Amino acid sequence: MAPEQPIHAEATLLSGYATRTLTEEERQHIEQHLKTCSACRQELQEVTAMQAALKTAIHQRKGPSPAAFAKVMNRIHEETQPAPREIKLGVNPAWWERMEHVFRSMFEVRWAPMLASFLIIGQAALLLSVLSGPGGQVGTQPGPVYDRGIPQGTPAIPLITLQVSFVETAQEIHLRGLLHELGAGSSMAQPWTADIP
Amino acid sequence: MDTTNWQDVTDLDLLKACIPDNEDAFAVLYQRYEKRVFQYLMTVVNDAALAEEILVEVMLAIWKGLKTFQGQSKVSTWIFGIAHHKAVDGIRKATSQQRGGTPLDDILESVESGHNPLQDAHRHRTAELTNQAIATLSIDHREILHMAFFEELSYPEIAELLHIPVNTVKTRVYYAKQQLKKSLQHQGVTEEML
Ligand SMILES: [Zn+2]
Repeated sequence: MAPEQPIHAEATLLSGYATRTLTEEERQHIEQHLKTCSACRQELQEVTAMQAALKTAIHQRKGPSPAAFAKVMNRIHEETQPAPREIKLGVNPAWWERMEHVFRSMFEVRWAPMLASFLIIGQAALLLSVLSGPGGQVGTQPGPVYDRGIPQGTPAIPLITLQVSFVETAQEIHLRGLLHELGAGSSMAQPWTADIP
Repeated sequence: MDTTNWQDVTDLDLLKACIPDNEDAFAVLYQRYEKRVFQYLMTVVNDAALAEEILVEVMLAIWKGLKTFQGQSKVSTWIFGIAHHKAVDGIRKATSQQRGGTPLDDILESVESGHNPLQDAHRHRTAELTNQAIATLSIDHREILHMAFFEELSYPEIAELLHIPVNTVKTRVYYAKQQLKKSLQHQGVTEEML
């Protein structure tokens, strides 16, 4: 017989007694037993000490890295988010708000890297005058559009915002050219729509 | 449901709020259980990188299994049941790949400078030795001690998630505790230190 064989069946209930997870019937039985059994009282004392030591030791361990959370949320987000079928680009006073929304939704999906390279490769420029209102500065030499994907740290939905920097010399035609390349209509009549496969 | 008060919501209501496909609610559920599941996995697999890999698998399995939760057991029991299955799978794979574990002196948070640096250092050392003692136990023993002593689950709850009889749980916790005592003594941890 192993030396640690419990002397009483009650000894195997002492951890449950210590953590208050016994049924009421079991708890009363153990309480009665402890009044007359010094071996079980000693055992209970050890169980309590071991439990405290184990809890302290585990509480002092490092937690997981934030990468695990990001990985899980990205995976489930990819699975639940259907790719948008139609994107409307409204040309009205709040158009840049819509653009931001459109770009954000674009950059949440699989083909985002493709679109990003599209923007880099296509040396198109977006129109500064639209941002600064009528009479904004419009130069003569169009330059490249710079873009960056910036992950935002919201816990629920990891968003990526596309920041587009407009060169000061960009002209309306470059904005239209870019939208045209993205598959949007080129008419100034709004809304512009782009079908994304 | 008011999205700003999820922290006060019960596990069950939170789980229901995740259906269908509510990522915000799931993020709250995730953060509620992330550390607990990870610590359980660390106890079982003794390897931080592997524990994190399995944590991702567990969380994805919870997300995919939300609709299958029957409400017959507690949410925590259901989650730890999934974690147990994934841990068993993970250990099997790791054994076949012959991966090494995390060095034990690397699994603890660094000591915070409190009011009593000597006492802090002492507690840190005791925690280190205790973690080493836990790591020397068999997987069955350290797993059940984690469930019973750390998670404070009841015998029937542990029996349910490990798929073993309740009486087996009672005796296994008892023997695991005896082994932990021996192992602590072996590490030089006395009762006075605890
Ligand atoms: Zn007794």
